[in-house]
Amino acid sequence: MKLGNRPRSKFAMFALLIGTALSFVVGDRIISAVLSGLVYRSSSGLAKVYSGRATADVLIVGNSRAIKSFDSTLIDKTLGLKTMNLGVNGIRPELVHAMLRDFIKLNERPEHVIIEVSYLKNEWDDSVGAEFLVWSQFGKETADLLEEKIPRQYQASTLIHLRRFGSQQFVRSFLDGPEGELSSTNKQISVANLERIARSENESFDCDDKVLEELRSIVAQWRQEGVKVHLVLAPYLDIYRSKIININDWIAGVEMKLGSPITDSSDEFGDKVNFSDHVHLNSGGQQIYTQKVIELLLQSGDGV
Amino acid sequence: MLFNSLVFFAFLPIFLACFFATRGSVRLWVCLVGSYVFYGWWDVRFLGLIAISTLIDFVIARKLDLVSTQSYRRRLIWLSVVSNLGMLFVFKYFNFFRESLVDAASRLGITLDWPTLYIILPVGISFYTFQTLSYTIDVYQRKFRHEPSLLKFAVFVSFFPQLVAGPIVRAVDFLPQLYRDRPLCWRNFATGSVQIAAGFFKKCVIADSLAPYVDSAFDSPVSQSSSTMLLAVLFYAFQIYCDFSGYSDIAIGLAKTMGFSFPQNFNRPYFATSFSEFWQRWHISLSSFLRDYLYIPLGGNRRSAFRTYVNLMLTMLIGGLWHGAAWTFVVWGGLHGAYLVAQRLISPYWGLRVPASTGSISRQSFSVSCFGVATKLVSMMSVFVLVCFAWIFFRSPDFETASEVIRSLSQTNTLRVGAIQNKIIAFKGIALVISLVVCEALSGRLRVKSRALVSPVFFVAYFLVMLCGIAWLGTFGNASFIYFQF
Repeated sequence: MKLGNRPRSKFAMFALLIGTALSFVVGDRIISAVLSGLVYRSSSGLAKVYSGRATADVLIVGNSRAIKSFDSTLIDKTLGLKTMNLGVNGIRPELVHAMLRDFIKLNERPEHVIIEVSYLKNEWDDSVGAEFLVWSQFGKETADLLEEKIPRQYQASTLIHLRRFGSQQFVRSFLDGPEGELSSTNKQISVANLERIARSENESFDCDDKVLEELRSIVAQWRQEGVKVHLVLAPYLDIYRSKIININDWIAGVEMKLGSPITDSSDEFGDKVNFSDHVHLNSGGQQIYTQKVIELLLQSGDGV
Repeated sequence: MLFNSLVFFAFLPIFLACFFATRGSVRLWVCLVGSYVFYGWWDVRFLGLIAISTLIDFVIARKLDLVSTQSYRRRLIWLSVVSNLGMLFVFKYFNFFRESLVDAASRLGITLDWPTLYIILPVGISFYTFQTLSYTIDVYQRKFRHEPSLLKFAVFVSFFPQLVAGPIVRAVDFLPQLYRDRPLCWRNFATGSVQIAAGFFKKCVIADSLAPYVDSAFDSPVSQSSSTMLLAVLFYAFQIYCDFSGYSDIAIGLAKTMGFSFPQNFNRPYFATSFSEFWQRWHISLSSFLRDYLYIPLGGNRRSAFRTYVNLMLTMLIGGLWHGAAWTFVVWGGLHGAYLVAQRLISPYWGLRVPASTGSISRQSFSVSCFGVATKLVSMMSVFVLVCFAWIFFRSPDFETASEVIRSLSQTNTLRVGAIQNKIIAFKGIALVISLVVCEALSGRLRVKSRALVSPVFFVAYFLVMLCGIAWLGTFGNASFIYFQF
């Protein structure tokens, strides 16, 4: 069959289809290899973690509240400690713990780890898990978790490698700096949003025992190795906090199961001027809260 | 069974192998059994409904064709209309009308204790009832002879590519094609596969990538900035277009690989410069159905201007209600009706006034051409903006949400790039939408020769790009097609 001529026999058609499929597999592997290399060498915090290049003195972990509550530059300037914020929007506890276990395996120990514990209340979500497929090729703990939690998507990504690179995490690996996602905002929560929160129904926090047990073992391992682990709960907007009917019980329960105290700031700085929405501090609130965290690090003694 | 599910990718090669390995009535049986398996995979109980609908219209059409007494024929066609629309009413509209009447009565202080039907809406019922209805009406109007073979008629009703979400294929277009066996042919296979791949790209890459942004914005419109909401409405316009036209492309492409020709269902609708043109480009099979079986029988534009406006409004209101049992769909249809009426009212005054030119001939023709392009662009943008406004009601689950969306859009102090939420998804969406618009604009200008379209080089190159694009950027969560709910 010459190029340009249409295949006339069934065999030629079949051969053409097989050829197309093979070309796709080859193309998939070549493009994926290039993208893997780019991600692996990128300067984002998670890329550094999974490529074993994370050399932080202070490590911050959590969800979007961790991203918005801490000013890494301020900690760095005030204490002279290189700070890396590994907060990820909407991250689920299982992913945080897999990432931390990979961190322990691949990187040097930091002096301090700050864990913003509000992520613990989130339940597993497949779409958030799929975001981490891009890192599963570098971290065994993350790969094992995804294979267990989203087996079909994980298998698909091992079959077609390009599936790993369709996530926000892939894009973020090129946008975010080593200190984490820079997303503080000067915006103050809108009146409409305040009214909506005032009208909203009460809610309650929950947490899975298995998740807490995982975190307890990670914290214990780190502490054994001399790392100072700080469990913190960042501020909430006061009217929103009052809607969380079991927040004090939830904190007490988590403290008991983890066997560690939580530095609870959920009822501090709760004025609307410090917030961009009901759960996220704005840049003003971030500065105030980071000062408090700096004091916490200073109180923890040596190394600072 | 969803086109974008793993089970369908297992089903399709088996079906195609059986299809091309057989001939004549055996092939028709393969089509029928395959289609029933495809539909029954979702819920086997509703196969009975398709079978009943098939039998009723088969028998009625046969009688209609053979009987010459006009009164008897009229009774028969009414029987077909009542049975088809009755089925649709019970499964789709009963609870809607019940709730509306109970609500209206309670406002007047009357308590109605009418029962609620706890039934689920059979997927695709709106499509196949319209399809069978069009057949009996065509036979009644003597436009088409009845189909003597029950097997062929059953395949026409249940043929799986278009069964659950169209296009609504008419008997006159499809039934004659069932009389000829079509061998496996490269031209059909290549052109069909190219269209299937385009459909999957539209659905998995564009529609399903835009969906999370749209869903989160419409879930809590009050907490969105104006720019986020604006983007969400824009994204919804492209989400529903890519979702539905993607399904149609897959359906038409699948039929093509088997050698069947289905009519085009979408023709770059957002390039329409008027609302009537929009409806000649959007869901063509439904709009032509409504035109031929509702608008024209109502009198169309053959009577007074006022009567034409009433006919337009009625057609669009019913078209809106066809989409779903909710008043938001009726308002959506009503808005489109109003647009069409307004267009008719202002069109005499919207003639192209060419600016007077004092320059040379070439300069004059240039200015005329520029003016023409500018007018076309303004018309296109105006139609698009108003269509997007109507989509707000289509997407909103209730009027409260729709009004919150409109309120959120009107907060001009948050209309800036910095206020866009979730920028990565937003910019990915914008990039996809721009790519789609550019591709569609180019496809209107470039006419690829059919010989090039079926050349192996084009085929391999096209599939490499599409497969890599779908694998890389596609969203796979077995997300259903939007039009399944209708």
